[in-house]
Amino acid sequence: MAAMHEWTEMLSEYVDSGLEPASRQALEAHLAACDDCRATVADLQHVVRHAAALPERQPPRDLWAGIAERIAADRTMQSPARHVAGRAIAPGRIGRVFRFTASQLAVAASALILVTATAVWLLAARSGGAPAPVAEAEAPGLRFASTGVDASGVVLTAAVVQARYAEPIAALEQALAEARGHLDPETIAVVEQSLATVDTALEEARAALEADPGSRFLSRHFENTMQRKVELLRSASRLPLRT
Amino acid sequence: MSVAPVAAGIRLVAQSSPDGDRADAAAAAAGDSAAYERLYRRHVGRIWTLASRIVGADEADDATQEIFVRAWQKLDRFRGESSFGTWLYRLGVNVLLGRRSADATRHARIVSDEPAIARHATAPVRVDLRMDMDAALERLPHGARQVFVLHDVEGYTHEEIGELLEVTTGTSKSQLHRARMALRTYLEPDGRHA
Repeated sequence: MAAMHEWTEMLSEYVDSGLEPASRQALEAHLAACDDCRATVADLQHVVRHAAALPERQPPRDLWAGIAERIAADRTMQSPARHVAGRAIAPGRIGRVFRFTASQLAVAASALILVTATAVWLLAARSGGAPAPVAEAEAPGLRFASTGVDASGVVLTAAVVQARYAEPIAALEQALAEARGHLDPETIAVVEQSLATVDTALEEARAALEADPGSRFLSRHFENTMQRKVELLRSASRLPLRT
Repeated sequence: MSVAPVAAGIRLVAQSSPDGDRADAAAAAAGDSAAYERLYRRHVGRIWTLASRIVGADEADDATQEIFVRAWQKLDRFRGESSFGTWLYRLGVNVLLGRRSADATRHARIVSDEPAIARHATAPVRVDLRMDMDAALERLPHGARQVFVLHDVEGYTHEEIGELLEVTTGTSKSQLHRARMALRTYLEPDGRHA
């Protein structure tokens, strides 16, 4: 006969109907003769029933405030969905879905530089001239260094950055629109595809800055992206027109 | 709040509305914090109860907040293939099991619980120390408590527990048995429980 300890070890599996038939029959034969093991089985069944019927409880205090606070902090480096999907989000809603760490933005910025540099080179080749370096890519009225801060060292908000670049970009876009009818379709495709890439990057950069308005890194990133757009538009505006 | 067992052994919050949850989850994924607060209100009891039983009442508040923050961050991955409650619950289990220690030490901890749980199972308990199940759970070694809660309270199988805790099914069964043996000494026997 097996030792008592061995039987005891099997009792939980017996309660869970987990024993093989042969083991179960042997244990049941033992139980018929062992008061202690029968009592233990009853206790274990009691524990299992009790556990299965445990009620749900409520936290002793409302935890939402702490969650809301941490969610709000999580807005840092996030891009609200409205900027990406074009959906409207009511004021007070917390932007999320697309999030960017500083390193991710740096990678995105590098990719954007590659895209715009390629486009600028292609457009410059079509115009027969050399592309202008970014630092020289100044549209009329554009005289800002990309530092992310103003003269007092205060980090620029997204609105301020947008306001700075609004006029020169509008002028260049107007010039491009007027020249559009005189550009060949292939060139227009290059310009439009590149502008779409830059605009997407701008939306993401702006959203990230709006979510974390005190970030100099994000402010400068937004400005740099603005300047990429200026550079692209400026190159497009230099294209020779078809007669 | 009442709960109902499901095929996978995981209980669902009976009072939450799947359609309401799905709509609120979609809104929250788009940034609507008010919708997310509604989800929180509907599910916090379930999650807090789970947390209190796995990591203990002292840590339950912080663990619950962590689960809801992590769920917020992952909402865009919720596809509606399961109910929101089930998705949140599974995420919660993973967060809770990951809180205590790194995976590399989990197995060692659970196995090292064996002597402690054996003492619990054999130590005599005075009648005036008998307590309710939740209080008794707090007295179990951490690994045994996890196995017991996952199996007997939450309905996981030993195979699922083995995967979650990275232990063998044999270890899971052994811990469960010892946890039950310890708990029986803390509980009022049938017919005398209030």
